[in-house]
Amino acid sequence: MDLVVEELDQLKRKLEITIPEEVVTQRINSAYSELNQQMRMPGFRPGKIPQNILEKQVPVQSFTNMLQALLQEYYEKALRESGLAPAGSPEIDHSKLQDVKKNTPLKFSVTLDVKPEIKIKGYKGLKLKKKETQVGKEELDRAIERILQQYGSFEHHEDGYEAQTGDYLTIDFEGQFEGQPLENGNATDLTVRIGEKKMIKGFEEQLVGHKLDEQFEVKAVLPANWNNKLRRVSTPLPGQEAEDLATFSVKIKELKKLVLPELTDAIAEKEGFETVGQFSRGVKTKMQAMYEEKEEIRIKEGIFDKLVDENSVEVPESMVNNEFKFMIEGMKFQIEQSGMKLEDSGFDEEKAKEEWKDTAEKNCKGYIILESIAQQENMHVSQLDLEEEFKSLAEQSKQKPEDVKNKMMANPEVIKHTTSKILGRKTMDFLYANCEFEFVRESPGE
Amino acid sequence: MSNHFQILKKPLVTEKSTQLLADGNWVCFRVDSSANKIQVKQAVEKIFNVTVLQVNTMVVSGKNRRFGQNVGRTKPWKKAMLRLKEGDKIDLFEGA
Repeated sequence: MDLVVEELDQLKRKLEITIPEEVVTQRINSAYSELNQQMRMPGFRPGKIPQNILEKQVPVQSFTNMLQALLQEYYEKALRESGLAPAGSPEIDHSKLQDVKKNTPLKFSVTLDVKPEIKIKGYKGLKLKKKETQVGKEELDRAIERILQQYGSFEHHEDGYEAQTGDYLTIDFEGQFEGQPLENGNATDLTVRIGEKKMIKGFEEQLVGHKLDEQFEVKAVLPANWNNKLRRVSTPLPGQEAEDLATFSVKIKELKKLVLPELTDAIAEKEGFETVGQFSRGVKTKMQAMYEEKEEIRIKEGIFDKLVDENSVEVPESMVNNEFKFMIEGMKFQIEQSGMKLEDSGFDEEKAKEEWKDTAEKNCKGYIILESIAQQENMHVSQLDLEEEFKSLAEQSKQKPEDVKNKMMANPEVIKHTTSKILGRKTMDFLYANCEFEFVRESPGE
Repeated sequence: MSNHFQILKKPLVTEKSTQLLADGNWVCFRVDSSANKIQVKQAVEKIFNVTVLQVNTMVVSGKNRRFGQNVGRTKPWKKAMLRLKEGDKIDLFEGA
C-alpha cells in the first residue's frame, strides 16, 4: 500500500492511499463469484455463468458495499501505518470509485481532522478547595422525620379547624384562565400537603386558613411550562406576567394531619437496623456519603474547568460537530422519554447549536486534555474495565451482562465510545486522587 | 429466402455455447427451419462481417409439454453451429 500524507493545515490531514492491483482484482473476483451464486441467467445454471459475461452485465461499480468496505479497510490500515489519531469522522473521497477496474491499482484520498498533540503540565497536585460537610443534628432529625412519615398515620381534624402549613388536604379544583376552562387544570380527590410546593407557585399558600367543606377561589400565576409545552427556556412565553392569573375554584373535602410515630427499635428494624441508635447512625453515614459524592462531582467538574482554562487546545471542527450531534441526539431522546412529541417541545436544532457552541467546544477540549493525560500516564482500558462497565449497564437496564456485552460488541462504534468514556473516568479518578485539597468546614445546606 | 435477418432468429448464449466459443471459436444460432447451411453461412458472413469456415446444422426436436390437462409439444427448431476464422469475433457472444 502506498500512502502519502499531506498537511492541509494544523489539524487537517489529507491521506492519498493507493490500493495495490492484486488486492483490487482479488476483491472484484470474489465479489463476482458471490454474485454468480445468486444471479439467474437463461442458458446457465446458477453459479456457472462465465465471469466475462457477468462482467458485461453487471458493472464493477455496482459493488458499492464491497468497495466501501475496501476503502474503509485501507483507511484504517493507513491510520495504523501513519500513526495519526483521527478526531471526528473522516471524509473519504468516493469519486475515484467510478474508475475502478481489474488489474489497476485504486487510488483514493481521505481528509480527516487529527487530534492535536499536546503536553499537559501541572495536572498533578491541583490545588482545590474541598468542602467538608458535617451532617448537623437538625438535618439528621429532618431526614429521620422523612423516613418516619412512611410509618405515620392520618388523623382527621375536628370541624372548624383552619388548615395550616403541614396539613394534608384532599381537594377538588377546577381551573380557569381568561374565562376559559383550563386544560389539565382540573382534579378531584387530589391530596395536597401544604408547604410541599408540589402545586404551582402560590397555590398552596392560599389554602391556609380555610375550613373543611369550604368552597373558595385561588388565584395563581401559571408557570411557563404549563401543559408540558414549550419547555425550552429560550422562548418567551405567555403566562409569566402578573395579569395572566388563573383562577381555581377549590373545595376542601378532607382535612387531615399526619401523626408521626415514635422512633422505636421496631421501626429501626423495619429499616434494616437493630436499634434506634444504629438507625440514626446509619442515616447519618448515608447522608455523609451523599454529601461527599456530591462534593466529589463538584471537584471533578472544577478540575475539568481548570484544565480547560489553563491549557489552550485547538479543537478540530469535526470533533465539535460530533459532540453537537451527540448532544442533540441526547436532547431528543430526553424529550421523547418525557412523552412529548419533538414538534411540540419547541426544540430547535439550529438554536440549540448556537446556544451550546461554547459547551461543546469546552467538552471537546476537555476530552482531548483528558486523553493526552491518559497517554502521558500510560493509562489504558482493560478488558476487566469493560466487563465491569457491561455489568453496571446491565444492572441499570435490568438485562443480563452477557446480553449487553454481545449487543455492544456487535457495534464497534459503541465500543469505541464506551472505551473512551471509561478512560475519561479513569483519568478523572486519577486526577482526583492526585489533587491537593484544602479542607473547608461547612455545615450542610449552604 | 433472400433476407439474412429472416434466417438468423437469435444467438444462443448458453453454458455449452460459451464453452464451444472458448474451445474452437464456434458460435451458435437458432435459425429458420427451412434455411440450409449455405444460406446460414452467407447470412452470418454478411451481417457480422466475419469469415465462416464450417457450418453444422441440426434439428432440435420439440419437447413434450403439458399445461394442466392439455398435452402438447413445442415446435422443433434448427440450430446452426458455425466455426469462425481465428481472430474473428461477434460481439453478441462476448457478453453484453
